[in-house]
Amino acid sequence: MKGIIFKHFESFVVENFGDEVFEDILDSTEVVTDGPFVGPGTYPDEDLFALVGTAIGMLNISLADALYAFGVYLFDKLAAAAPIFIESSKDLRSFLLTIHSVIHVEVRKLFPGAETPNFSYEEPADDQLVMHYTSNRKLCPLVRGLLDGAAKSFNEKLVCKESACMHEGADFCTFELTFHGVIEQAA
Amino acid sequence: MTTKREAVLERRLERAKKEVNALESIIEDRSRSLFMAETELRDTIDFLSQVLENLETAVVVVGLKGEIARVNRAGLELLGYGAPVEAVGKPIASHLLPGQEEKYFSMDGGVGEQNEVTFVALGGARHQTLCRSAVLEDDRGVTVGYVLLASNIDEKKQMEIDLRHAQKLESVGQLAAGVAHEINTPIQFVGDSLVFLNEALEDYQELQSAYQKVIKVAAMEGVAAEEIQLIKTVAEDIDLKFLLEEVPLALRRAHEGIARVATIVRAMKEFAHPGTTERAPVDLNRVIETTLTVANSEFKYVAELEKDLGELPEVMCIAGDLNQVILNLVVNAAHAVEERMKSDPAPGIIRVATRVDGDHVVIEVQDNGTGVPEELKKKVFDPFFTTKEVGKGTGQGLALAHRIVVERHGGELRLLTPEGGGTTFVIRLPIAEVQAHDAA
Repeated sequence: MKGIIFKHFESFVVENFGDEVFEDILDSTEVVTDGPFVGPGTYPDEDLFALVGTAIGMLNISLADALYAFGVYLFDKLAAAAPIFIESSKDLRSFLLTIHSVIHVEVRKLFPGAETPNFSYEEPADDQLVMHYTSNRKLCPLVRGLLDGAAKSFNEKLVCKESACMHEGADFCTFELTFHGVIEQAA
Repeated sequence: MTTKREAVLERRLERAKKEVNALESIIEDRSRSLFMAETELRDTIDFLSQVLENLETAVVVVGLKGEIARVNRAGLELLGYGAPVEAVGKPIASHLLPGQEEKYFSMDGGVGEQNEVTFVALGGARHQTLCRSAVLEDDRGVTVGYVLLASNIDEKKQMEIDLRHAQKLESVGQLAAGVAHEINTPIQFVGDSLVFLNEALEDYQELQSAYQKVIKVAAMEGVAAEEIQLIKTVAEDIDLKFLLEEVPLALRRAHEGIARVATIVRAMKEFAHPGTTERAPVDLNRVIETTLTVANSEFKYVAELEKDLGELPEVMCIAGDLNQVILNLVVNAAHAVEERMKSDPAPGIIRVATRVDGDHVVIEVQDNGTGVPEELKKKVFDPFFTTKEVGKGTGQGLALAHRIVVERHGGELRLLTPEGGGTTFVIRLPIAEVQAHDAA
């Protein structure tokens, strides 16, 4: 896992629960990595899972909720770091279609060794998209959070239904997405 | 006493410092890697650029609108540009014959196939190539242009033409040699018979004088008056006086004619089988005489032949090649004279002269034919260039003569325009080598 995810996890905890909580989480977690996490570094996935595990125990929230909330938060941070991917897409649906063929390709160029998840697509209708997610990390709640974060960023209403899940024995997680257009601002 | 808050901040500060150190280390590593990668990339670019520039195959990169985007040295030569900057942006279609772009370089056409494509260089020179085109894509698989790889096959094509020409000449030569051989024997006995007849006639003339004397005496003596009268009547009937005057002349003319035929047959044999195909010391005047004999029928009805053959040393050359050159120039001269005479009845003259000029032998073939317009002078030695009507010229004669003189014999073949009109072709062949050959 890239260090940038660890750093965003740290800021997520600090911003929402304070730096003392994060220090407590760090104190109470046994990680493999000796030294600080920095953005360009690559660290064992287990270290992040261990930190998240400690956090949910301390904060008394479910893993799925924690990953979902982190996903929503993470999307904003990633979008701010590389706004071009948002700006060059005309809407949420076309943006999501670029994740596998454009964004992850660029990520691997920028961070050699990065293990990006695999996405495949089905396009049953103009306002629908089916995304199949495969990853050894099986972080489907994080994906849901990222999808909602993206919808928020595009100011679009998105309905997301996870119709299959690797945690329930499926080969991949399937997200059936329906796009309801831009959210009208209240006058 | 340190509060918990201070302790937390201290730990975060400590970790931040370590992060800075770690980041510095990463930046250093990345900078080194980047430097190494850049060096490797530059070396690779240099290497590939050198390979590209030294390729004998023309590499032309063409954009989606058909504009030249990049071109290597061989490509510049093929298209007739001096530098890449002159070529970039020019439409590739301007270097192709009409219809070739769609045929060979469109996605529906022959992309990926190898085709024989003619490129037209700046200035109009045409080059035959074996050309393959390929699609260029960016890293997302989007087509951004085409690359054309064209190998110049002008020389190969020329060799094919030369070979066909040589094969044709060889068969014509073999045929001529066969005919000459067949004719030679009857000519021989016709000639011998004429000599015999001439001698016999001389003997008969002696006998005839003796008869006349007998007749004269018999008449004076009054003997056999009737028989003598009969002889006189027969002699008058057959016009014996005329026969005795004309038969020797007729025999002489027949003898001269058969001697001329023998000369032509000998020249044909020599022309068809000039000897070795390797360079050897050659008497160029003899080559010229032979060729003029063979080509006599090409010019005798349109032009008078003037010969001014100076004394020449032998020159190292391939006699058969020079036969061909002289034949082509003389036939060309005859055609030019014939063409001119359609509008101007002045008598045609073809003048062939040889001389030594320093260390060169000079052969001039001059005619008072149509001449060559200034703007065509540069093209007369180009293959397939002809101004003759369809079926009369292949555009190969002067091109072949030029190749033989310049490329095979290290000489010069120039076209001059004499003041009085017409054309003079001047061949200059070096004689230095023959001396070396003799010395050896």
